[in-house]
Amino acid sequence: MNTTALGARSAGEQLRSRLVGLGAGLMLVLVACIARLERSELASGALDRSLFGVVFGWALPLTAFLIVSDICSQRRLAFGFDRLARFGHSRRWLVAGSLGVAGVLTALLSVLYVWVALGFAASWQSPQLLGDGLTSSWIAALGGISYVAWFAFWSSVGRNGGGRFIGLILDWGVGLGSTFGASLVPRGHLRNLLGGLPPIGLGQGSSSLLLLGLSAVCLALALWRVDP
Amino acid sequence: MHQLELSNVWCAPLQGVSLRTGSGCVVIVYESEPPGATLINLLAGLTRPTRGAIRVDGQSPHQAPALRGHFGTLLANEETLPGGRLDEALGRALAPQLATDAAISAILAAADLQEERSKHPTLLSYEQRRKLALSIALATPAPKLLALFEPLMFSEPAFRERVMASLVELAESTPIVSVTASARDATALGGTLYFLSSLGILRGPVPVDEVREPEAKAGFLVECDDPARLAQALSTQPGVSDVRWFEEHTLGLVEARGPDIFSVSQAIANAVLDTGSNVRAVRSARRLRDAEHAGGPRP
Repeated sequence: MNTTALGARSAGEQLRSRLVGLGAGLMLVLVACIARLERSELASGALDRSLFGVVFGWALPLTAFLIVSDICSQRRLAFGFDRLARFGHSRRWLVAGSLGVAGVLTALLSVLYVWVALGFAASWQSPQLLGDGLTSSWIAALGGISYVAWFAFWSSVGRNGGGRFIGLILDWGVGLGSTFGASLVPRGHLRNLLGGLPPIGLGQGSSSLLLLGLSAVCLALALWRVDP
Repeated sequence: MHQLELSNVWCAPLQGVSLRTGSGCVVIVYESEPPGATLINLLAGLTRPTRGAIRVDGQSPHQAPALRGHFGTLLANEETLPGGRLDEALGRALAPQLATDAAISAILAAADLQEERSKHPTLLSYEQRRKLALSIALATPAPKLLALFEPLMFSEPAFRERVMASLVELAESTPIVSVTASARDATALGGTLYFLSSLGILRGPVPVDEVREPEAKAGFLVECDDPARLAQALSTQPGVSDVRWFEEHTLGLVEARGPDIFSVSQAIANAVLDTGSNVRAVRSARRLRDAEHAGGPRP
């Protein structure tokens, strides 16, 4: 088995932990409850408020945070792979495989959150339901992957991966505005893609490309900071 | 011939450790576990030195995964391998040359774990995990380095014998660094002896007698209310080679010496429990010996 596949498989086994299951389950319940509340408060725009608020604002970054933390065994990136690295496997490729699994899992969960929000907040008679769902789904999948890359990079900062918390705070703090800072964190671009306030007046196409670029840079930096 | 070189290596709690060796056995006797465990992690390439360099055949183990594949290591804290079944986990984790069915069966047989091959790796006991890691280390084909933490600390004499025999054979072509707290194991392993203090300073090579000398490592003074009774109980304990007691003090002193620090401390604990002695303090016997040498009063 090659090292990347070994990392992916090892991460897959680790992610079956109760912590991730419980976290994802709680997020699903939270998304469902808030979407339902939004609809009961005011049906018009309930879906938008749910997506901007609970799905993309809370559930998506927190799920990625939880999954990346679990892969790192709540420590620094690559910490959990020493038990394999000692037999001659490259930590870098092990981490690459594990982040692949984390990205796919986060993307799937993000899409699931979108559809749960749709189910509870949207009107089933709406002709745009399917279109909105599909558009939000690809944005959620892209968001999930970019948040995994974002937190992977920040997990490589600090002796015990404490940089993850900096990443979370930066995303929440800087990403809310429309300043240059918002274009450096996933939240600013995701809000723009959903039709919200763009960071520094960027178009949606530019935001997609910048988000992909940001993810690639974060991923490359994270892997570069891991010892071979 | 393979070469291991540590040049002024710093990594808390190690302080400026330097060592150079070719094939053969180097035994490092440690005073406290953290420096010993850190040294093995550094040699295994799992920890990066904060200063200095470690080179095996000119390469840094931390930066060279392929090199690590030729190492045999036994860590202070052996974790379980990821995987559902033990044999499957081994097949996935080990380098390609060791991942064949025959090699895995041989490793499991050497570690007395054939019966456990279908079990989940997390079900292995601490000693079983250590036996497995050591068997993998000893099975590494043409190893470039063996870095072993307490390689003889196993309860079964037969397993210890097998390990000893393998190490003697491998020492002809491979640098072997064994780290142990036991003076008895250190002298059994032979080779060049070093001493690693609790401050992380490596001293050596030291003469065998300095490691074996009971007073140097394994002497305790027990200050208690009934020294005669405690001394009598201690003299029947295994692991204690010499017991003396002194009545001139208000509470009385018992001095116990033995071949290694763990045996003596265990013996003292057992004797205190057996006699129900009221112990006021337990101190290293080194101060007493130093006072004797200086011709001054006993501490």
